Amino acid sequence: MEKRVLVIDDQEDVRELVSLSLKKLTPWETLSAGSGLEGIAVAEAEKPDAILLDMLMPGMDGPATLVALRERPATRAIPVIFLTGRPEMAEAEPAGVAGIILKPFDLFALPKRIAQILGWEAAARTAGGPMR
Amino acid sequence: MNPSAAAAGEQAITAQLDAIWQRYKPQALERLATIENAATALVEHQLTEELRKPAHSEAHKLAGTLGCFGFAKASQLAKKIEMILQIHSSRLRHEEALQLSEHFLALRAELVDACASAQPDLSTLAGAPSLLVVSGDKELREGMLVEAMGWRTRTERAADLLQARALISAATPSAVVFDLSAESDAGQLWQFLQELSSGLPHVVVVVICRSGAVADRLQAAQCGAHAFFDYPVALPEVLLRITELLRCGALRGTRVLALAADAPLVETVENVSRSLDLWTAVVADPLRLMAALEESNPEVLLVDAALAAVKSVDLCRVVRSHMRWHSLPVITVIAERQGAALEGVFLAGADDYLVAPVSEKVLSSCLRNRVQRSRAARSSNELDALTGLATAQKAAEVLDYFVRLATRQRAPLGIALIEVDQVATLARKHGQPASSEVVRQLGLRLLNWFRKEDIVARWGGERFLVGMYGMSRDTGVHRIADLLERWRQQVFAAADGSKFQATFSAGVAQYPEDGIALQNVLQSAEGALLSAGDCGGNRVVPAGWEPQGDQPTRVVDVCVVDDDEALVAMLLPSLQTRGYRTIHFPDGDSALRALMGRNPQVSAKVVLLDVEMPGIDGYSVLRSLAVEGLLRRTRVIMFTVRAHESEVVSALEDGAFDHISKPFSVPVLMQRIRRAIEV
Repeated sequence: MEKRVLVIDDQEDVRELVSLSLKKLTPWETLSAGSGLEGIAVAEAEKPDAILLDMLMPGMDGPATLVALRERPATRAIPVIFLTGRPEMAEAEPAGVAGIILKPFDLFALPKRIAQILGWEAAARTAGGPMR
Repeated sequence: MNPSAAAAGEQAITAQLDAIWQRYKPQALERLATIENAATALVEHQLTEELRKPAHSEAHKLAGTLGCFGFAKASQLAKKIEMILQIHSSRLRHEEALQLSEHFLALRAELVDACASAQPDLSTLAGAPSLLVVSGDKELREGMLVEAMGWRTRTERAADLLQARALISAATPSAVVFDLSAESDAGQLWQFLQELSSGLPHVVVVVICRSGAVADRLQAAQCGAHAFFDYPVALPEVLLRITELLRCGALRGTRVLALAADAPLVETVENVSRSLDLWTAVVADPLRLMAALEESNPEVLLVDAALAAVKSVDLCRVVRSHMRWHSLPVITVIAERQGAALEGVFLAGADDYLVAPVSEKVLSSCLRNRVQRSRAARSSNELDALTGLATAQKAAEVLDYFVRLATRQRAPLGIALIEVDQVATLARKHGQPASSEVVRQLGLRLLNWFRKEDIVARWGGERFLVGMYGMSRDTGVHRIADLLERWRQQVFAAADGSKFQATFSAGVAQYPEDGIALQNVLQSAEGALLSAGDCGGNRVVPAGWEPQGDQPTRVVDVCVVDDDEALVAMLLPSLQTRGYRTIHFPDGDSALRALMGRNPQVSAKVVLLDVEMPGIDGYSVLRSLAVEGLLRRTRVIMFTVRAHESEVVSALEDGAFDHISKPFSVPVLMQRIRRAIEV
């Protein structure tokens, strides 16, 4: 079965960009949620294979959402990748997440990066990488 | 996912990205407005946490998404703004306020550009030329990949023809390099080349041959290869050749003149022009042909034979007999393919014909063929090999034409000579290849910086010439100075990996004001360029410019009276870049002492006067200057604070020429200064 990826971000444009990239470059299905609370509900109901989680959100932020996801049996084991605009976060390697993807991300390289972090078989070939 | 699907996916992303951007553009502009409020408040020392926090959050969001849309520079600027705004408002100092305004204005400029362009700049991702290297030799494949990166060219690699075929069918490359040793069965390669050249005629094909056999060379040419190299080969040479070939092929911006009145034909021409991004002029009146040729200076002429008044055959004759147009490719559109009509058309000198009704596909391939051929014939002596710009010879031709046009139309013609500063030092410090790269890059920047109708040429060595029809000397100075300010930011890499920056100088003259003949104008421009160099370079100066002398009264263009050191430090270089002679006073007292009296120490054309200063304030300085009668020859621009509108009005009543409120954009201030000096 194809992978299903949930993106939780309060910014609609980010959700749309992630879903555009995954839709066009991979056979994966993309789910999205606009807040931590909504994300937890979707994750419990849909049990995606991975979650992309924005760190900075109003209300329940990324780390709080992560704690909640880990507390629930249905979502406990789902790997989470943080989306963040802060390079220093990538170096800090926060506990409990599979990896970090920095914003802004390269739409053409995003699927490959996700697959790489999660050890999924590279589903997408990327282009333009060395040119950035 | 297989390669072809992935490439198709990338194209789909590029195609949809613009649509998504269009939808989120208003939101981005709203975010910008929130940042602007905070930036303005900070300059006015009124930034509260209520203003700072949302601005910080919006900057964060912009930084995170603009990059995804392909606006890398805007994203970085938003990031810088975010960094400043994360500091608590009570700890933000004046220094940060200035930085914030600068970043904000730059970001706004980028976003305005981004909103104006239909498509975000993804040239490094999708629009750049792409290269396919087919070689069994891994080293050669990797070598080409690295070399191509330096030419902003994306590279795909294939080890054999099978892979090559798959990659080409997935996404058509701009150029293909075949390494002949890769294919044991040469017959297969020839067949492949033939298919490629008939199926995708616009793809540039280059063959590298290891046998050294002349027969292979011939065979390759017969199969449609555009260039041929013997192994071992210098990879930069291959890339250079490919770039040249691609340039001959790229139709974008080609000037086409169509003499046609028939509505369907005109529509076809306009559609093709739009889809190929050509510059097309359509004239319906055959009697206007010669004038239209002069005005549009086309690379190809399309004539509808059905035009009633004059026979197209006669028109062809007229064009052919004209000295300037005898080699212009002419395509005729005829009503039917009749022997007699055809013969007449060719006898009269048309190069090609199309039969009406003309389809868009046929017209575009016909235009492509004609333009490619005529460019290939010209390019050897018209295009400079390093920079791809026009050669001095070609430029001289165009300038002659511009001079005639300027005389007739009574329009100004600006001519600039631009030179990389201290190229010999650059070469010594960073190596010859790095200094050549600087020259090449400057050429590219110039080409992109000026209008399509301007001529940008390599005038020899590290010197470039720009001919700007319809542009005055002063406009030219400002246009080039704007480029210089951007150029200073550009970082180059030397062979050893070290980074360095480079500057340039320019001299700008105007025909006929700075010389009665082209030669004299060029001398004036050169004189200005040399004066700029004498003052240390890194500036753009007009003809007739003289450095500050030691006369008893020092004559300056701009006198800055402001106690804000950070602002002055930013302002003076911008002024000097534009060739303005400057002087600075930190307070009103010292400024008045220097400017007033029977034999003043300083005479200034423009005074930039801050309002809030220690000692006497700007308004008092203005009034003193007015009482002294100095405002007749000196124009004052006040730096005001937005809130105090009534004072602005009274300053203007007191004789200030103009005012600009802080925070201001430096480019806007430069415009105001220019106006004050010119009027």
